[in-house]
Amino acid sequence: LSRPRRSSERRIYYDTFDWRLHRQGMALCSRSADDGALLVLEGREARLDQPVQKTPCFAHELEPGPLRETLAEIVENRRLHATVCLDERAECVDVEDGEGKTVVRMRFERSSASDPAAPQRSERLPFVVHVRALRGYRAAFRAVCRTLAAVPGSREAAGRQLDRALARLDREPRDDAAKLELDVWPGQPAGDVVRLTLAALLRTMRVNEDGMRRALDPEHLHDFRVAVRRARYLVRGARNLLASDAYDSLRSDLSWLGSATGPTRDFDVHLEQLRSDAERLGPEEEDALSPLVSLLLMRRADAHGHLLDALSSTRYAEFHAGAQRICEPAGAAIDPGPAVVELASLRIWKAWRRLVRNGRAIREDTPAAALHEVRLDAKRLRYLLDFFHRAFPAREVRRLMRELRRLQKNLGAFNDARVQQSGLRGFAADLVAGGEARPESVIVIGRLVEDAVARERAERARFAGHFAQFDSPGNRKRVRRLFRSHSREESAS
Amino acid sequence: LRILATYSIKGGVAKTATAVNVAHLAARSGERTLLWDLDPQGAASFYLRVKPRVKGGVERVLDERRKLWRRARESDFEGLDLLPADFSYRNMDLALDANPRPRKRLARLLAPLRRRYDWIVLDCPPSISLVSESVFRAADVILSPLIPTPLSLRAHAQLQQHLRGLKKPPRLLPFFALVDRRKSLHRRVVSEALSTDPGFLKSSIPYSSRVEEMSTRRAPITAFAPHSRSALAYAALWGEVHERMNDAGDA
Repeated sequence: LSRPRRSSERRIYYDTFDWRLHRQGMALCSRSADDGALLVLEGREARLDQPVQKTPCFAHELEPGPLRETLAEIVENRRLHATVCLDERAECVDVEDGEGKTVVRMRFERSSASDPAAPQRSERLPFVVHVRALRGYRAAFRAVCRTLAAVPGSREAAGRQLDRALARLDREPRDDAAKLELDVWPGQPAGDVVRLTLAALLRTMRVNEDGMRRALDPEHLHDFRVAVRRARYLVRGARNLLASDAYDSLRSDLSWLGSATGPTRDFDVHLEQLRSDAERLGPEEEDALSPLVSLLLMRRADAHGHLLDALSSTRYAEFHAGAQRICEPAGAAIDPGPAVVELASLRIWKAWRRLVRNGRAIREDTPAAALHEVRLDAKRLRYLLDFFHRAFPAREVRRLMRELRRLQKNLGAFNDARVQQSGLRGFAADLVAGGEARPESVIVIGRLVEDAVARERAERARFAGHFAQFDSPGNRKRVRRLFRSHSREESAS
Repeated sequence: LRILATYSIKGGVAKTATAVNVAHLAARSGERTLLWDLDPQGAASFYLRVKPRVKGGVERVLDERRKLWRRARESDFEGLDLLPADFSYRNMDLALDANPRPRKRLARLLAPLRRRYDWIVLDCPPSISLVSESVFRAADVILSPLIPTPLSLRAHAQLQQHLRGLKKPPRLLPFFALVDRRKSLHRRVVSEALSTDPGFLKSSIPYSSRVEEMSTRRAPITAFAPHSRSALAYAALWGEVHERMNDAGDA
């Protein structure tokens, strides 16, 4: 054995609030170095690193390079949070053959993990020995492994040190995910499914609340709003199953929450769009847009203040308490109703027909408002499929979802371009009125409006193709087969 | 992938030391490098502490159906692998001759390594033989060390003439090694050659007992004494090789 080489290191791991890196089997960590830190992104097959002065909050804050590109592709515009801090003391020892040639490298690690948000709690991790074979020396590697395996109490360590650290800190990497994955079977009473879905949506709201309050990541608010919208649509669709007072209070509170969160989200969207536009246009344009960014940040701060008031209000607390009561299994607020497959089929069939009818009516000269209606129809159908997809054959629903997602993407991009235009026009007018607009700012805003108009036209031109694909004979047949028979029975009964 | 061979018709001119140090410098700069010891004495293998043992002998190594990279041994230096030689390599000429198109054999064996390595360094045995002919076919550049004496220059001229006769000759980069500045002959030969032949690399490797220490330390001098005069000379030589290769690429 060679003489041991000792080292110690602190590694802080980062991920998005919805664990995007973890879900991709990747890990991002910063390692302390003499002049700043080294940011390392490790996956199953590749490792990228980049020296940084300080750890970035977003991928776009990094210097351009392969690490930034790879990271941005995965985390998009989500904020990076410190998830776990690992303090490691290691000893590296080489196993040498008779010639003094290294044949196996070993690393003995003693680590402790702590939660960056509560660093006072530190947990010791199991003692780990890493054994690395050198190419051409497999026999020596196997011999070392056999020797280690014979040590009482030792076992082959599965997974990564990061996962062991998260487990020791009782952190479940997928605990914040907003995806609705409920166990639903066709014969289950519809009321049960409504209750479980509503409870899951309330949970999503709760999970995102803290991040929203502290403005950690715009996606917290986004996910919160999606949960609110889904809940509104669920409640509306389950009107016959809900007690009238429960229905009324949920409808009114959810509508209020939607309004209370809307303005902040609008500014988030505008700011995000501005950031990507500025990146595309260049540093001069970015500078010209700075008065607009300042204005939006100021207004966002105001809107966020109102949002915080809403979240701290008695009404919000009462909404959650009331909704939780409605979701209690023993509660009488939700009627069991028919089998979920019947209710879901009827709702999905109706939503489909409405979407198809409105979509088919779109012509080249149809006003944009009609297209906006189609977007909402598509959203409603999507929510229904999200709620009830488990009650139908997975493969068939997946195909339908794929086509629907494509259509929604097109309609969403069309809508975003329109919202951006009207927003920019309004903000430009406000800047001019307030005397804050520099001529170059107005010129660049004008360019952005033009870009948005071009995008709107392009998306509109694409709509016919996307819709035709969605409304294809194959898809129509699939929807009829999946949902129509049940919906007829339901209608007859 | 770029293939560099250290070659000289004469023996004892620091071919192996050059191959080992240059391969180490390449690996140290982050390039995945393979050093193939083609000399039956196995000196490069010895320097890197790899046992001179070749399973099945050189005949099996030259068998195209067997993957060459599987025989590579990872050295103690990150990014540097070695294909060791043993005494069976003395029959490499015969083994090559037993194949159809023997001069193309090495190039064909090395072609699949394109994805695995950025540089392959061939440490050749001295003399002109079928092995060296195969090396000339496979290599992009021949790094040829010369002791600054008239006899070495004569051998270099012979090599130049021989390469000129090839259809696609590799680029020849001669340089002076084992230069003893105390000897007026060395000083004169170096100065005349550099002023008259622009093909010579400007960097030269001084005669130094520290280079000889490589055989007791069993490591490249660029690893155990990276700030020594010889190691710095090798680094300068490597830089110049890189530059010349890039110039050739641009041209």
